[in-house]
Amino acid sequence: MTDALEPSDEHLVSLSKDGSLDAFNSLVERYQAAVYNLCLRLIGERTAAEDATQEAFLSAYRSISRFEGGNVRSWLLRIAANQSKDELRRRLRRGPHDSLSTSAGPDDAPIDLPDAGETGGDYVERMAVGHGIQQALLQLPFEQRQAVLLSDLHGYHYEEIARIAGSSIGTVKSRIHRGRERLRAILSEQPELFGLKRRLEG
Amino acid sequence: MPLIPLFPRRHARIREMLDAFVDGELSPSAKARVEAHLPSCAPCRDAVAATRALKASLAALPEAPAPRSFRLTPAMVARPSPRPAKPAAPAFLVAARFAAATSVAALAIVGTLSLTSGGGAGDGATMSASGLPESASLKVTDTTGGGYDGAGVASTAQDTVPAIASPPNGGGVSGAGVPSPEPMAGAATPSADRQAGPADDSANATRAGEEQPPAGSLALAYDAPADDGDDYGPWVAALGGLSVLTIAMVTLLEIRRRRT
Repeated sequence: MTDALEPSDEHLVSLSKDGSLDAFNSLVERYQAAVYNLCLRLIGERTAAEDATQEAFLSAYRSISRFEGGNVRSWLLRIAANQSKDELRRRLRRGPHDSLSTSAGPDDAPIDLPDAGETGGDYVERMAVGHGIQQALLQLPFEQRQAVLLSDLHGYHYEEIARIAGSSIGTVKSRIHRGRERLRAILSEQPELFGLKRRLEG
Repeated sequence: MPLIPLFPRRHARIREMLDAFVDGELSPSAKARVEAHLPSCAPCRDAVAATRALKASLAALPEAPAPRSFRLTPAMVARPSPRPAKPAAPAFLVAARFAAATSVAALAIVGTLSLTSGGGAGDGATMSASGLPESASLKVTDTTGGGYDGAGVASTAQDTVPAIASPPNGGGVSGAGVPSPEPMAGAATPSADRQAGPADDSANATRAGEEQPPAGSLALAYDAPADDGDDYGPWVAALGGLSVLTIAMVTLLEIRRRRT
């Protein structure tokens, strides 16, 4: 019955386990935006995020026989986070000029996407805020960035974040606390983000 | 205007819970404690407001559409099998590994045979010198006793011979135990050197031997019948050389393969 509309994740997973690449590609299409956005926010650079996304799906396909059920989306995001971490490590090893945290190269800006139908002033501020937040995020330790993003961008509860990050709920709690504290400190030092600054300082 | 909290410690504990409070992740009792604290604490109220604002800004980050399709193609999935240049190398590598393993195994067998055949001191000496460099150098450091100059490899005979042949040689041993008479050592030197000849490939062992030539052992080695029966020396030396060669080859191949 449900197949007539949209096959469930579980169904697609079991077909994939039987070797159906088409079924797996349905999952890819279902979750590629989520996976890509997490990689993009974790890495901060589009080409690298694309690489990490592709690698994540490839790695997911190869390890699908070991997937024991549960939330497919979380499982994919966990793989994506690991791939992003590897990608960052590879870039760091390749040389400091590739380091992403403080660069303001042309690759940074496109992360802030225009939203259709927005008025001029709001749009400019949103661009600036989005850019500022992304830069601030990149200054956090990877685990804190991951926890904050999964909570605030992807809307996950601590329990699910802990499962994705492979850590305890207590650890997630303290990562989010420290991550946000640091974000607030960084952002309140940026005079160009007036609106946000005003709000952050209460 | 921010009030100075009346209870600094309680305030600090509450402060740490504010993120979880905003996220709705506190237990009912913890949540109640925070809610009781907030009306009396302006800094904590500000922190809550700031956290909510930050959360909202993060949630408002624009979501990028996937820039392209990340569908897997059969070629991507099948990547492990068709590695173009590599199949040739691994076949060669497998052969090299096999050769190395075989020669080491053969070396071990011949080495054991030459040890247990109870042959002369000459065999023993050659054996420990070339076949088992590690154990030879180990033993040598043990016997740092009566340091004397001279005859490289023969010194190691001291270790093997007593173990095998010491009962009959009892007198010899006790005699040799004393820092030994010079003429004896002098006489022993040439012959021991000749014995060591075939084993010289193995620089390791020879060096180990040179470091450590107790004179007593010289006498002992000389006492024992050196021309006794089966001579494994050359075999051990040849196999030792072969082992070193093949292992070096495997190492080189592995390094090259990992680089590419």
